[in-house]
Amino acid sequence: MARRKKTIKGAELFCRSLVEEGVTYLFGYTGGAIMPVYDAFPKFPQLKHIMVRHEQAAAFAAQGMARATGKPGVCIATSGPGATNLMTGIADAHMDSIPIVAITGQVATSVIGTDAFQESDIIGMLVPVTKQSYILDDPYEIPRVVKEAFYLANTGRKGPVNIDLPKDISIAVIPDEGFDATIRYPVLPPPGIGKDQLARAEKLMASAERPIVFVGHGVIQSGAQSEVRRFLEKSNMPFSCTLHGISALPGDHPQYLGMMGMHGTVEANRAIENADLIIALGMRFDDRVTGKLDEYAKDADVIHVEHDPSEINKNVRATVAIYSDLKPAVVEMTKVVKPKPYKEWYAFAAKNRKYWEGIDPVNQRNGRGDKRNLLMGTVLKKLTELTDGKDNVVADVGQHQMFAARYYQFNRYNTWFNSGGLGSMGFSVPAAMGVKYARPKERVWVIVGDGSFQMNIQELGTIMEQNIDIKILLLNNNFLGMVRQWQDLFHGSRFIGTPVKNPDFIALASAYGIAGERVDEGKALEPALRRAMKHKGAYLVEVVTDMDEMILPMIPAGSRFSDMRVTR
Amino acid sequence: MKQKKLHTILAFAHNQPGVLYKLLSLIRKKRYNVETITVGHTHVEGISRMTISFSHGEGNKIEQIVQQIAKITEIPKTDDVTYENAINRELILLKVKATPQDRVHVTATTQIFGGKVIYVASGHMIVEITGKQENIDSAITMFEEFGIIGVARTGATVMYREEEDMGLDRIVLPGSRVVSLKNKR
Repeated sequence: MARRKKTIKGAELFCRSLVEEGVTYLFGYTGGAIMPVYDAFPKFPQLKHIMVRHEQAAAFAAQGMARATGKPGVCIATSGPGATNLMTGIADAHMDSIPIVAITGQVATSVIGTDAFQESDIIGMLVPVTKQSYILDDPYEIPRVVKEAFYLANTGRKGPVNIDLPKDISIAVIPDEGFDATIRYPVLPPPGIGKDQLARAEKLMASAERPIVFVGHGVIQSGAQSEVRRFLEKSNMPFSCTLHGISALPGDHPQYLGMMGMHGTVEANRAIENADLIIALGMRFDDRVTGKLDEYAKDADVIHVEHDPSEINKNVRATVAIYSDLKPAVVEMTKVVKPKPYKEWYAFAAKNRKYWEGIDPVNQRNGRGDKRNLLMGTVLKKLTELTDGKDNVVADVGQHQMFAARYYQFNRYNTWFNSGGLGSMGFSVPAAMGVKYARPKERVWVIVGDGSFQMNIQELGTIMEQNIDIKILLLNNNFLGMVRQWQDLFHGSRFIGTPVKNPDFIALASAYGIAGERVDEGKALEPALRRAMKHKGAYLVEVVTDMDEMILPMIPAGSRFSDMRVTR
Repeated sequence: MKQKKLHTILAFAHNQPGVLYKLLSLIRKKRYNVETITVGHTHVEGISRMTISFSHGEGNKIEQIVQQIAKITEIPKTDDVTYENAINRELILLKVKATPQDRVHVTATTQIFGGKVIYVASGHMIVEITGKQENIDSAITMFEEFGIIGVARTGATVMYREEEDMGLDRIVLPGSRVVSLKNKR
């Protein structure tokens, strides 16, 4: 009798393919349709599964991992509600171009389309928010699909990919041979910078008197920070970061004007308003960056370097459109750019900085608000001082996010993590778990408001179970502060749906075995932060902040830069 | 019947479930209305030709939508062919009222447009015409004097006059298919 061929189960083949892609951590939650995959985990000790308390957190944790490592993060959930719960995190990854691979269980192929128990058409739902979605209807396709999923997630413009795995495919037993793992959709590199484009860029750069360089998320994603820094330091041009460009270059760099856009610094926004040349590197001119498009940087020529052609000329028309990877384009531009002092231009920026420092609320009344409560800006400045600007900071969404972007000085590369495009509240705590797994030896701070904290607060359970050492800095103003600010400015101070009656957060953390303390007055802040830093394990510092505080300056949505509000 | 100015896009796609859904989802997201769409196999196994025409928007947005379609993994090649000198044809079936006295006139009108009569009944006829969209539009106008009781239009399908870039270098079809492709070239 012939020897029996070696066989393998679909779920095991799937896990083996994940191992081949270098997957270590999976964040997920089990359930009926995905159980066979979980059942295979013990055979693959390289795969470490972290059980979260809600699938949305799994997607955010995978994002944290991806943002910190630059490699795809992985989340896994069952069919139906498990899969739909992942969606917010996947949509968020799509907006911010974060590579994650989302694995969802699916009901057996024989019952797909019959409204079976816990069936949802997850591919149909995820198409607009994924780079690619697969339904595995043939176990022989598993190695190819897994390989291609990781390849597509992390190639070109990064983004989320979904693999839907029906239960009958994961329990199928097939001969362990004859797999074709050829990638079907190779991603071609962009054409790069052409001679003509370079000549035109050179001419614009040579004649510019008021240039500004934009550092976008692409600089971090392509790892082009050294090349960009060389370009900046040779050209001596000032630069500004988008929200996601922050931490690409050190925050104390002398040419840095700060963040741009809606809540950008006065010096950056005034410079953009008056610039005669914008050099945009790896960014997409989001509406929070541009304000009113017709009036945006009217006197400026724009050199736009982007590797996604659909982002060029989308919002802002480029004088010179360079469809290229960032590194080679910036290297070429560095060769032809001539240094200039830009004396008047820097003096203009310095004047604006001085103006803002004179009216910045954190520089007044010892950084306290009207009711003597601490200001968020003051707290973040103190955190910078104590950590030297070198810790990982994961922010949630709201006022505290903007304060973290503006008042924490990021002095170390790629240490700033937040949900920019989609603006998903509940991002920070689970994303910080992912960042901590990626950087176990580094300190990770969560900056979160009382509203956002409660959107994924169940993850305190995961933190407890896994002993995840993250420091949670809760800025509590008992309000949904960002919306309150808009209500204050644009809706006649009618605070509808924004006051929050909060639980005792310290007691809540304590119930999860997490140490913490509440800071009611300014003096207590520094010792509390120091205790948090010293403490082994997770720690919650709740700071009561001023509810009237606004994040300023602010360019109201759809307004011109000249409409920037600098005071309340 | 006033025709809206249409924009036409030609795309070559890997013939896989869900590709059309992705394409239409994108057009829907941009809030355009698809007016016609034709999809069919090409001479390369596994590759389909799609011609989509939708109501005209601003030029800038069209450029962007083409770029975004180009990002769909299974669509290796797409072009805006609205202003291209490509061959653009549509087929129409017209059900026209025709008394016995009218039959000869309907037949003559059909011949003007290079079409043919494919069905005759006591009170009506069905004619088939192919042509550019403008010709189809004027044919409809001509037949209106007899009385139209049914129209079936396929929508435009487009082909370049010279060799077409189907984006085959951007896609790897399963092994056996690649061989057959080479034989055909």
